[in-house]
Amino acid sequence: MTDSEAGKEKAVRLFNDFQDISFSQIGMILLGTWLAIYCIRRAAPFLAERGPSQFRLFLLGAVPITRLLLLTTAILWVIPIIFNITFQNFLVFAGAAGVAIGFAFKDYVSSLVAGVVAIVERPYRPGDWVEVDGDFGEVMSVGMRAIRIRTAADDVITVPHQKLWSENISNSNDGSTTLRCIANFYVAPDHDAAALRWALRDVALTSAYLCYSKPVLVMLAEVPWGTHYQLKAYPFDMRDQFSFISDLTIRGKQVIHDLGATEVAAPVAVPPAVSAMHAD
Amino acid sequence: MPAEDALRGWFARGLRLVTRQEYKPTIADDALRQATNSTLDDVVAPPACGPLLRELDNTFTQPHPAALPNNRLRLVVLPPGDQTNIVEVWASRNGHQIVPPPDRRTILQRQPEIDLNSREDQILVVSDLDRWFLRHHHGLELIRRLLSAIDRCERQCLIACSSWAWAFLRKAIDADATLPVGVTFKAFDGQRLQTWFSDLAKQDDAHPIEFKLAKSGKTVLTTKDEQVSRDYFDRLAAHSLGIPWVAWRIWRQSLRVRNEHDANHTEMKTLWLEEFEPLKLPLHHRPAALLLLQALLIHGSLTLDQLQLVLPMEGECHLISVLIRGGFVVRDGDQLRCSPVAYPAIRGDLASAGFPLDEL
Repeated sequence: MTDSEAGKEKAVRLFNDFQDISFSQIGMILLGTWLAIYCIRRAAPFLAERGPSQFRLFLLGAVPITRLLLLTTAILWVIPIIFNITFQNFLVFAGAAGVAIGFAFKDYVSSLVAGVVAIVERPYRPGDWVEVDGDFGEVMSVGMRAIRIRTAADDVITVPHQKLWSENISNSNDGSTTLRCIANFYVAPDHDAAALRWALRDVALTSAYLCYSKPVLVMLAEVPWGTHYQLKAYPFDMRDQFSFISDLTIRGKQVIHDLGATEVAAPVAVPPAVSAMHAD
Repeated sequence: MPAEDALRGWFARGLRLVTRQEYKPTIADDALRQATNSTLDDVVAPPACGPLLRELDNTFTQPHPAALPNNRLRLVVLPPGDQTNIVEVWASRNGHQIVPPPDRRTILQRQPEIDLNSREDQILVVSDLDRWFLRHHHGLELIRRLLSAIDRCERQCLIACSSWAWAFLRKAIDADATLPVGVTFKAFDGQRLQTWFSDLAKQDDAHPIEFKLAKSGKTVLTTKDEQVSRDYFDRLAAHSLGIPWVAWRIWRQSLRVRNEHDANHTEMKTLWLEEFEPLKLPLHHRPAALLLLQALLIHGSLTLDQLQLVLPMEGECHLISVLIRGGFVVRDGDQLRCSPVAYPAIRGDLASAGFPLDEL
């Protein structure tokens, strides 16, 4: 046998014989995997929103894990059908893949790997409220390459998993059904701080959104323009966090007024163009 | 049991759909009408809590051991929906001193000092702790002073509170630091319900009575000494969460009589029972409706003005009409309260939505 004939035989043995590759089986596996992932991505959020709230985060969190398991199973099932699995063939494939990844798909693969790490380490899950790069919102989905966050302004932001390597990711609830909410008040210094602190605590304790199993705290500190109060409490459902903060703020302002205290605001610098107009 | 009933109902409907069987109840719906109040009072006489008065007697009428300070205060925690005010009825019968709750309209104003120490040796009874506060930052002062006065006074005190109000007060004012661990009634199971309703039906001595299911014709209760299956009462007990006044109202609401005089009338009087269907909150307004219902459960009953004070947004009060029409809320004069019949559905929806619950 000549050298070229030996080489050809080697190349053919990287793949299984063409007539032995069952394309219908590969098609069925891929179609079934896609269908299963599609159904879970639709069904889990649907059930999460309509079922008991105690299971909501569990159902949402199951989607990326199930997708990873299904894809892994599909890949491990398809590879032996196409490739002739030997150690030499593995080295050939790994070398080619390394070159391709190194030059063309570095960032994409980095995000994919970070996505797998994120599923294991769980810095965020579907349903969590996270802050990444200054954007705070609810994690709607955890994809293969990126997560999608819906902010309070109803913007949808796509954040690649790659951020995990270099950025801090702040998770407000970390899988819990509640998170801490803070209502801020700024009051002129001349007031009864003890009475106001007690009254603000009652404001939180009488909120319809309050979670009974979490603490209520009122902290205060002096700032240059007055006394800064922070009313910290937890709603029983974190989806109500903005309504909760609004409720605390409205009733907190009422309490401040009832106690004869005065709210203050920090002075704001006027831009030069506007001040020139007013000077005329 | 409610889950089992739901599955059974879906299976039956599915089977009828597949086999195209027509639904044929033993007696048609249009042949029946709601029983009159007179009939109901004969066979299911009020109050809705008769057996519980005996339990209160057995528990609290025994002489207390002398000089045991930790028995001075007793707390009774009741499921919501007690419109009879059973503890007040018991206290009146036994001649105890009842501390009346203030007019709720005055709770947000300055209240005079509460003096509980008098020369009398009776047990002091606060029969309705729910009515001493409003879930409002100015609505807790009075109840704090009341508990402080109870803590300082030297008399035997019995305090009654609904379970939802108790759960709120434990959080809001640390009420469990002043009051002891509460006692409550044992839940009514199927056996107990069957015995109770049988005793109520026997009070009508004119005719023996039998109660049959309208759908299947099966006898569930009879005043004759016959053994009947307890399945219906087991389901009723599960559906009513073991609360006697809820079961009593569902039982009364389910009773029907024939529209026309029965030509084959015998000496036996027959009353027919419609199956109890769980109520469903309208999905459209569900979050706001649940906030409103929770407020009513915590306070027992509220006027519309008081409801606006305790809810986050005034606009939610427009749902009152929707909830009254749906059977979730009843209006009693100017007072609004959760319907006892709807309580199992309300509690289920609150639990499903993650609301803080009572512990009963």
